[in-house]
Amino acid sequence: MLSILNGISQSLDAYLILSGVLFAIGSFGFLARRNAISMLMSIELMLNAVNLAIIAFGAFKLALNVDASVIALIVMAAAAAEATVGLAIVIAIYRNKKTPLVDEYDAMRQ
Amino acid sequence: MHFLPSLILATETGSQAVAADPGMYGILIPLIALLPILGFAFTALFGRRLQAKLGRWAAEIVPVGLIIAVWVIAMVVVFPALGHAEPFGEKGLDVKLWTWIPAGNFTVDLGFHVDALTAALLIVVTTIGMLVHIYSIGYMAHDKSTWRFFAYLNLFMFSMLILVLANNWLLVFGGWELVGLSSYSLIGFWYHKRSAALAAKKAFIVNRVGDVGFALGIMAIFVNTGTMNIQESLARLTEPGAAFTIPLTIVALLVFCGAMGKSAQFPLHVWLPDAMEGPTPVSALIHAATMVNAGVYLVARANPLFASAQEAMVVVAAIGIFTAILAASIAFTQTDIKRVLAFSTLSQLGYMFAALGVGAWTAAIFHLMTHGFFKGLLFLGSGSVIHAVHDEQDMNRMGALWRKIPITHLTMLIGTIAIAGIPVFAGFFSKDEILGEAFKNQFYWVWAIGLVVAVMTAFYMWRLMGKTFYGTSRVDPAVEPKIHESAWQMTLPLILLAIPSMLLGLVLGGGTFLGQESLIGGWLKPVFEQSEEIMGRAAEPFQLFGIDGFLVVLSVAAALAGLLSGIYLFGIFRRPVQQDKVDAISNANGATKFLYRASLNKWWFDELNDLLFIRLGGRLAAFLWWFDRTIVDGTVNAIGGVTRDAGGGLRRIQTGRVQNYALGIAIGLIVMAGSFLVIVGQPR
Repeated sequence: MLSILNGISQSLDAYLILSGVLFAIGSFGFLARRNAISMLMSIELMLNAVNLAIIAFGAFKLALNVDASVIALIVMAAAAAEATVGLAIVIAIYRNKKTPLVDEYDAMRQ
Repeated sequence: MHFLPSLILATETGSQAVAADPGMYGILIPLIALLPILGFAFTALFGRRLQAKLGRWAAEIVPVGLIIAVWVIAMVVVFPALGHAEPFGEKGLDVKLWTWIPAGNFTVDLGFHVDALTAALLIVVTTIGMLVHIYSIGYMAHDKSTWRFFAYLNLFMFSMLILVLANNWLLVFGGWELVGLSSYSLIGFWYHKRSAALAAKKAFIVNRVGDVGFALGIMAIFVNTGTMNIQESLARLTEPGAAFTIPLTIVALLVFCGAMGKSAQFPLHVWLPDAMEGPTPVSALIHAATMVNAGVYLVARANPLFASAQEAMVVVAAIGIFTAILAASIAFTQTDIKRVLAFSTLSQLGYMFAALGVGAWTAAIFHLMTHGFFKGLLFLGSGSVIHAVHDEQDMNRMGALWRKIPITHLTMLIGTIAIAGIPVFAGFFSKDEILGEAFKNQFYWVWAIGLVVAVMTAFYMWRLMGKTFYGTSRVDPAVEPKIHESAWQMTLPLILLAIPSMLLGLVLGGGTFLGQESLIGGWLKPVFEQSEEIMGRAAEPFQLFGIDGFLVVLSVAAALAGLLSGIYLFGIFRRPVQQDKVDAISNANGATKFLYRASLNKWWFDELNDLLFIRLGGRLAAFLWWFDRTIVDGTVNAIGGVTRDAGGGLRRIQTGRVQNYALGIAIGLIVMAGSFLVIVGQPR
């Protein structure tokens, strides 16, 4: 067992369950919330859930340790970039439509 | 033409290979064609303003002056060409301006070829063209847009001269189409008159039918020989033992098809009578003396081709002589003075084709020349008559004009005697030569029908004279005191045309009767020599006291019979019209009645065309339109409709809301992950 896990749960399942729950919350938020900002936040939640699963695998399987850390860093960087671009788009649309609600964004349909 | 085997060229056209230096003719010949188009451009661009500002003369002086210059130049060119003098020689002179279409094996030069045949046509075209231009000054003196008329006339002269001068088939075709265009513009010159506009359209469309054949013929010639040059292609077509992709008979018939359209031969003759809607100088120039001769010229130019395709020549002879008798029969009953002359033109053109068909090439060109002059004269004379009685064309409203318009009367009398074929006048020599050659070449049926047509020609021409100039006056009483002889611009061309109508035949063909070669025979001998050799016709000496003399007596008797019966019925000078006898004929019953009505209705050819092409053709077109609309368009529209409806249905799933798409992605992801688990979780 790895020393970094001292004082916290020793079970991989616990982390994966937490990750799964977080991902489910994120997906529900993304599908259910009408506010564009909330949807962006839900995406962050899903990304972090995935990241948590990756880190957990890295901690419990020695062979995956380094790989998992690198992937997690890359996902963080991607998440940061995505958040920036997403927020910029949402603000741009907001300026046009004067609403943050995505149901109103139906220009694609016409 | 360096792509072609040079051997053939060197042996076949050896004399042309070392082409003579054209000298000053290298400039004069292109100038003949160039001046009229300059006149057209100038008059079309500036004519209207000049006429409005300076008066009628300003718009007339350039086009008329240029045509007179063209006549002078043409005369300079024509006489050495006819006499086979250097640099023309017997083969004629080629003047190449530049290579028009250089495209690999397909090379077309813009060039002219002048030999005796071209020169003979040049005489007719430029002389009558010039006289008609002068005449038009008088005839169009009351028209608002004289400038437009003269611009078109110059365009016509350009087109006709290109047609005659061209040294390759493509350029001939260009001129061929251009004469059609200018003829269309001139027939429809008074386009505000519905009948004139319709007649112009009819002429154009009927001509197009023939032109398709001509275009196909030119293509066939190119396929067979690989060259567009007239002389080279004809030389190659007549090479002994040569094999061709397309049989020569078909090629010859296709070319003849074009000639039928332009020269208005049966069944494409229907446009010419209607073309009389145009101003009378146009009828004289285009529809009597020049353009309608283009078909005769074409067949004569392609004579080696026709000589190598004897079956086609029989067709030419048959169509020609049939048109001759058909048109003559129609001319019997027409009352419009110009229409009588139009049918007479058809009939005489039929004579020329009959001559070409029996192999009497020289006689055909001879008749072309004499006919050009006397028919031009008759048309211009009829124009003078129409002018005198204030635009009345119906002969039933003329009569007793001979003392009021003496110059017109006298010149038209000369024209009538010339066309009837009374000795010493022009028509006698050429017509007699055609009939004699037909007889001697064993085309007895052509000779017999031709003799009947000669009687008919003399008769209907005298009917025209009698109804117009003699008997009692039926002119509108309001117009009667105002009848006057036309201005000098109109009578001068009449007098100038009357001279060749009297003498041209004697000058050109008189030599035959002295047992020598006639003048025109000598001129045209090199052009037709080869064909006569191919056909195996040996020149027989003329026997004045043998068969030839007998034929001459017969044809003179025929002409006199027609003329005297005409005089008996329709009067001369003070002798009145035998109106009761004329009425008896027109009111007779039985076969006579049928013939009378057939002639009056032009043998119902317009009605037949109406039935065939307007009604039945219209039905067919309507059916095809229906087919196109319902079947063809239906299929296309059905495919389009299905695609559109499918799209319309499928677009419902495109809501444009980002969360619906996200839900789709989520469900897809769950399905994929679930099926992955199911598949991987299967026990192996």
